[in-house]
Amino acid sequence: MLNIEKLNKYYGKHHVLKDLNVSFAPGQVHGIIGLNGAGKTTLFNCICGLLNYDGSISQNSIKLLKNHIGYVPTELYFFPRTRGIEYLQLIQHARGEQNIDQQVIDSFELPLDEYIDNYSTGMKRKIAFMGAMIGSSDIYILDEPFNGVDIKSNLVLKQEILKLKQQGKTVLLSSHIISSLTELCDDVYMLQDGRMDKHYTPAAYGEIEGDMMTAS
Amino acid sequence: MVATYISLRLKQFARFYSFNGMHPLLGIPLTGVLFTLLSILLYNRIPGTNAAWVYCGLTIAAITELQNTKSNDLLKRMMTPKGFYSIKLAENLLLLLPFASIMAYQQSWLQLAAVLTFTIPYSYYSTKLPRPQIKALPSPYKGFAYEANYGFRAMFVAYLLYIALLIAGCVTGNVYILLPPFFILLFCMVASYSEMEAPIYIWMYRITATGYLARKWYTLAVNYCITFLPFLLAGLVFYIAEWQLIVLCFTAGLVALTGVMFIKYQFYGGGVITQIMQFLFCGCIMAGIAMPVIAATAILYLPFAGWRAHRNIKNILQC
Repeated sequence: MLNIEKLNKYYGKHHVLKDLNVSFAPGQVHGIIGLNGAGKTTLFNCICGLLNYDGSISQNSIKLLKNHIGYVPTELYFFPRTRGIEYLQLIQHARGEQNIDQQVIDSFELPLDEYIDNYSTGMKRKIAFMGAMIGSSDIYILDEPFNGVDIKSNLVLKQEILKLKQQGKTVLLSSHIISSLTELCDDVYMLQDGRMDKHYTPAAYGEIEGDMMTAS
Repeated sequence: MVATYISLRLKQFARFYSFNGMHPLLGIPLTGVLFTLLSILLYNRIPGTNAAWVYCGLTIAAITELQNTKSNDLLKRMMTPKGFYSIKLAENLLLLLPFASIMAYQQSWLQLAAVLTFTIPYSYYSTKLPRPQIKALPSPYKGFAYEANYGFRAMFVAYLLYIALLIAGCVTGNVYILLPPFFILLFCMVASYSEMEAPIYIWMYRITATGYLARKWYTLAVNYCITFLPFLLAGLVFYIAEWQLIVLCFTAGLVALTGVMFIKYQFYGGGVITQIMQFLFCGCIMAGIAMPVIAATAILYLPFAGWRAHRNIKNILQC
C-alpha cells in the first residue's frame, strides 16, 4: 500500500499540495484527474523523490521509494544525440538488469537504432514507457502516457498497464482523456486546489465529466 | 554502469561534431587546441597568482554550468542515489580533466586541490547554481520573441557599468579610457547572443530564410545602434580628433555582431562550439582595429557563415 500522509508542497509562496492524505492499493490502477496546474505532476514528482516536500510518502517496508518506481513523466527528456537502444541499455545497466524484455521491444515496433531526436512525440512517449518497464518496480507512475501515441500503440499501452495490474503492481495513471481512465482504472481521484477533492469508484464514473465541468 | 554512462556521453560528444557538419577527428583535436591556447593565454595575460585563481573559478563555473537539471532528473529516476553519485563523480572528474591538466602544467597545485575538493562533494548534488534575476535593457523589440530577450536586453548591469565607465572616459580626457566600456559591453552582447531560439520561434515568422536573416540583422543593427550610440556620441563630442578610431570601433562592433549572428545559425544548437566560434570571430574583428589584415581575413569568413546559416534556417522553415 502506497501511503501519502500530510503531503505539503510549496513553490515559493504558492501552496500546491495541501495536507494531502491518500492511499493507493497494490494490484490496482488508480486514476488521477485534475485541471491544468492542479498539482498532478508535482504529486508524481514528490512520490518519485524528485522534489522536496513536507509530509510522508511510504510503501510498506520499502525504505527508498524512488528506487522502486517506474515513471513516465508528462514532459519527456532524453539525452541528445542518443539512439533508442542506447537509452534502453543505459536504464538496463542502471537497474542492474541482465536483458531487456524482448516482448516489450517487439510490441512497440520502434526503430531503436535511430536517434531519439528524430522520433515523433508518440515514439518518444513509447520509448519512455519501455524504459519505465525495465526492471521490476513496485509502483508505476504514468503521467499522460497516451498523449500523441497512435491507436495501435495506445492499445498496446493499455494491455501493458493491465499486465502490470495483474502482476500486483500499483499503477498511478494521469490522463485528460476520461474514457482511458474509466476503461483502465479501478478508482479515480480528482485533485483540485491541492487536495484529493473526490474519489470515484467505477459506479460513480458517470459523475466525473459533470464534476470536471464545474471544477475551478 | 559508470562505463556505460561515460561511454554514452563520449559518443554524444563525438556526435555533436558530426551533427554540426564536422568530423569528430577534426573537431575534437581542434577544440583541444583552442582550449589549450585560450587557457595558456589567460595564464599569461593575468598577472601573478591571480591567473590561477581566476582559472580555478572558471573551472568551477564550467562544472556547475554544464549540469542539466532535466538530464539529472532522468538519471535520478533510473538509478539509486549511490549510482547517481558514482556516475556524476566520474563525469565531473572527466570534465575536470582538461582544466586539471592545464593547472598541473602551470603548477597551480593549490587551486587544483581546491577544485577537486569542490567537485567531489558537489557531484552528489550536481545542480546548476541559481542565477540572480537581472533587469533587462529596454528595447523597441520587446514584443518579438528572442529579438529582445536575448542578446541585448539581458545585460542591464553591464549597461550601467558601461554608462559609468563612459562618463569616466569623457571626463579624463584620454580616449583610451573611453574604449574599455565599449569592449566590455560588446563582450557581454556576444556572450549572451549564442542563446538559441527553438525552431518554432524561427518558423513562426513564416518568411524565407533570407527574409529571416535580413530581419534578424535589421533588429540587431537597430539594437546595436541604440546601445552604442552613447559611445559614438561621447567619442565624437569629447574626442573629435580621434573620430576615425571611434567610428572604426563602432563599425567593427557591428561587423563583429553580424558575424556572431551568422555563426549562431551556422552552428544552430551547437552550444559551446557556437560560443567559441563567436568569440574567435569577434576577437579577430576587434584585433583588426590594430591590425587590419586580421579583420580582413575574418570578414572573408562571413559569406561562408552566412551561407551555412541560410541553409540551416531554410531547413527549419521547411519543417
